[in-house]
Amino acid sequence: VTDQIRLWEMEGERVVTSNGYLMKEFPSEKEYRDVVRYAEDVGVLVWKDDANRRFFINGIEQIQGFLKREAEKRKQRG
Amino acid sequence: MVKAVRGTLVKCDASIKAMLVDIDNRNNNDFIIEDLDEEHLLVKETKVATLKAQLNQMLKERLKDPEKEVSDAED
Repeated sequence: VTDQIRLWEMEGERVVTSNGYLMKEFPSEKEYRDVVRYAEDVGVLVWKDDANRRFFINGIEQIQGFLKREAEKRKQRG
Repeated sequence: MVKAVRGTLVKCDASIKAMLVDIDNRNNNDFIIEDLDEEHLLVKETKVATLKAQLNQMLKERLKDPEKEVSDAED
Protein backbone atom coordinates (compact mmCIF):
# COMPACT_ATOMS: atom_id res chain seq x y z
CA VAL A 1 0.00 0.00 0.00
CA THR A 2 2.82 2.37 0.90
CA ASP A 3 4.45 1.69 -2.47
CA GLN A 4 1.27 2.54 -4.37
CA ILE A 5 0.97 5.91 -2.64
CA ARG A 6 4.59 6.72 -3.29
CA LEU A 7 4.32 5.82 -6.98
CA TRP A 8 1.16 7.86 -7.39
CA GLU A 9 2.72 10.90 -5.77
CA MET A 10 5.84 10.52 -7.83
CA GLU A 11 3.82 10.40 -11.03
CA GLY A 12 1.61 13.26 -9.86
CA GLU A 13 4.63 15.46 -9.42
CA ARG A 14 6.21 14.60 -12.70
CA VAL A 15 3.25 14.44 -15.08
CA VAL A 16 0.72 17.22 -15.60
CA THR A 17 -2.20 16.75 -17.99
CA SER A 18 -4.85 19.11 -19.37
CA ASN A 19 -7.71 18.48 -21.79
CA GLY A 20 -8.34 20.79 -24.72
CA TYR A 21 -7.27 21.52 -28.27
CA LEU A 22 -4.02 21.83 -30.19
CA MET A 23 -4.32 24.75 -32.63
CA LYS A 24 -2.04 24.55 -35.65
CA GLU A 25 -1.42 25.30 -39.34
CA PHE A 26 -1.80 29.07 -39.11
CA PRO A 27 -1.33 30.49 -42.61
CA SER A 28 0.57 33.57 -41.44
CA GLU A 29 2.75 34.76 -38.56
CA LYS A 30 0.39 37.68 -37.91
CA GLU A 31 -2.71 35.49 -37.68
CA TYR A 32 -0.87 33.13 -35.32
CA ARG A 33 0.28 35.99 -33.08
CA ASP A 34 -3.17 37.60 -32.94
CA VAL A 35 -4.89 34.38 -31.90
CA VAL A 36 -2.19 33.36 -29.41
CA ARG A 37 -2.38 36.79 -27.78
CA TYR A 38 -6.16 36.53 -27.56
CA ALA A 39 -5.90 33.04 -26.02
CA GLU A 40 -3.47 34.38 -23.43
CA ASP A 41 -5.74 37.38 -22.66
CA VAL A 42 -8.83 35.24 -22.04
CA GLY A 43 -6.79 32.77 -19.99
CA VAL A 44 -7.08 29.57 -22.04
CA LEU A 45 -3.47 29.31 -23.26
CA VAL A 46 -1.65 26.30 -21.75
CA TRP A 47 1.38 25.87 -24.02
CA LYS A 48 2.76 27.49 -27.17
CA ASP A 49 5.42 26.82 -29.77
CA ASP A 50 6.10 30.01 -31.73
CA ALA A 51 8.64 28.38 -34.05
CA ASN A 52 6.01 26.01 -35.43
CA ARG A 53 2.99 28.31 -35.03
CA ARG A 54 1.01 26.03 -32.75
CA PHE A 55 -0.41 26.23 -29.25
CA PHE A 56 -2.64 24.36 -26.80
CA ILE A 57 -5.80 25.76 -25.19
CA ASN A 58 -8.09 24.37 -22.49
CA GLY A 59 -11.22 26.11 -23.84
CA ILE A 60 -12.25 26.61 -27.45
CA GLU A 61 -15.55 28.57 -27.56
CA GLN A 62 -13.98 32.03 -27.26
CA ILE A 63 -11.22 31.16 -29.71
CA GLN A 64 -13.73 29.92 -32.30
CA GLY A 65 -15.63 33.21 -31.94
CA PHE A 66 -12.43 35.18 -32.34
CA LEU A 67 -11.37 33.23 -35.46
CA LYS A 68 -14.82 33.76 -36.98
CA ARG A 69 -14.69 37.52 -36.35
CA GLU A 70 -11.18 37.72 -37.81
CA ALA A 71 -12.31 35.82 -40.92
CA GLU A 72 -15.25 38.23 -41.34
CA LYS A 73 -12.90 41.20 -41.07
CA ARG A 74 -10.64 39.76 -43.75
CA LYS A 75 -13.65 39.15 -46.01
CA GLN A 76 -14.80 42.75 -45.64
CA ARG A 77 -11.34 44.02 -46.46
CA GLY A 78 -11.54 41.86 -49.56
CA MET B 1 -6.78 26.78 -42.78
CA VAL B 2 -6.32 26.66 -39.01
CA LYS B 3 -6.82 23.23 -37.47
CA ALA B 4 -8.03 22.37 -33.96
CA VAL B 5 -7.08 18.89 -32.73
CA ARG B 6 -8.84 17.67 -29.60
CA GLY B 7 -6.71 15.83 -27.06
CA THR B 8 -4.89 15.85 -23.74
CA LEU B 9 -1.66 17.78 -23.33
CA VAL B 10 0.82 15.80 -21.23
CA LYS B 11 3.67 17.75 -19.65
CA CYS B 12 6.49 15.75 -18.09
CA ASP B 13 10.26 15.63 -17.90
CA ALA B 14 12.24 14.13 -20.77
CA SER B 15 12.89 10.77 -19.06
CA ILE B 16 9.19 10.20 -18.38
CA LYS B 17 8.40 11.31 -21.94
CA ALA B 18 10.79 8.70 -23.33
CA MET B 19 8.93 6.05 -21.33
CA LEU B 20 5.56 7.24 -22.65
CA VAL B 21 6.84 7.13 -26.25
CA ASP B 22 8.13 3.63 -25.57
CA ILE B 23 4.71 2.53 -24.24
CA ASP B 24 3.04 4.08 -27.31
CA ASN B 25 5.40 2.19 -29.64
CA ARG B 26 4.53 -1.09 -27.94
CA ASN B 27 0.79 -0.39 -28.39
CA ASN B 28 0.59 0.20 -32.16
CA ASN B 29 1.09 3.96 -31.64
CA ASP B 30 -2.48 4.12 -30.40
CA PHE B 31 -1.93 6.64 -27.54
CA ILE B 32 0.06 9.61 -28.84
CA ILE B 33 -1.43 11.96 -31.45
CA GLU B 34 1.60 14.25 -31.73
CA ASP B 35 5.06 14.48 -30.21
CA LEU B 36 5.26 18.24 -29.53
CA ASP B 37 8.63 18.93 -27.90
CA GLU B 38 11.05 17.55 -25.28
CA GLU B 39 8.51 17.81 -22.47
CA HIS B 40 5.11 17.78 -24.18
CA LEU B 41 2.92 15.19 -25.90
CA LEU B 42 -0.59 15.36 -27.32
CA VAL B 43 -2.43 12.19 -26.29
CA LYS B 44 -5.88 10.78 -27.12
CA GLU B 45 -8.24 11.75 -24.30
CA THR B 46 -9.71 8.25 -24.15
CA LYS B 47 -6.25 6.68 -23.69
CA VAL B 48 -4.82 8.85 -20.91
CA ALA B 49 -5.95 6.53 -18.09
CA THR B 50 -4.43 3.46 -19.79
CA LEU B 51 -1.21 5.32 -20.51
CA LYS B 52 -0.95 6.45 -16.87
CA ALA B 53 -1.55 2.91 -15.62
CA GLN B 54 1.16 1.54 -17.91
CA LEU B 55 3.59 4.26 -16.86
CA ASN B 56 2.98 3.45 -13.19
CA GLN B 57 3.59 -0.22 -13.96
CA MET B 58 6.86 0.67 -15.69
CA LEU B 59 8.00 2.89 -12.80
CA LYS B 60 7.13 0.15 -10.36
CA GLU B 61 9.24 -2.35 -12.27
CA ARG B 62 12.15 0.06 -12.17
CA LEU B 63 11.79 0.33 -8.41
CA LYS B 64 11.74 -3.42 -7.90
CA ASP B 65 15.38 -3.68 -6.96
CA PRO B 66 15.38 -0.90 -4.33
CA GLU B 67 12.19 -2.43 -2.89
CA LYS B 68 13.99 -5.73 -2.50
CA GLU B 69 16.81 -4.06 -0.61
CA VAL B 70 14.31 -2.44 1.76
CA SER B 71 12.53 -5.71 2.52
CA ASP B 72 15.87 -7.49 2.97
CA ALA B 73 16.96 -4.84 5.43
CA GLU B 74 13.72 -5.24 7.38
CA ASP B 75 14.30 -8.98 7.63
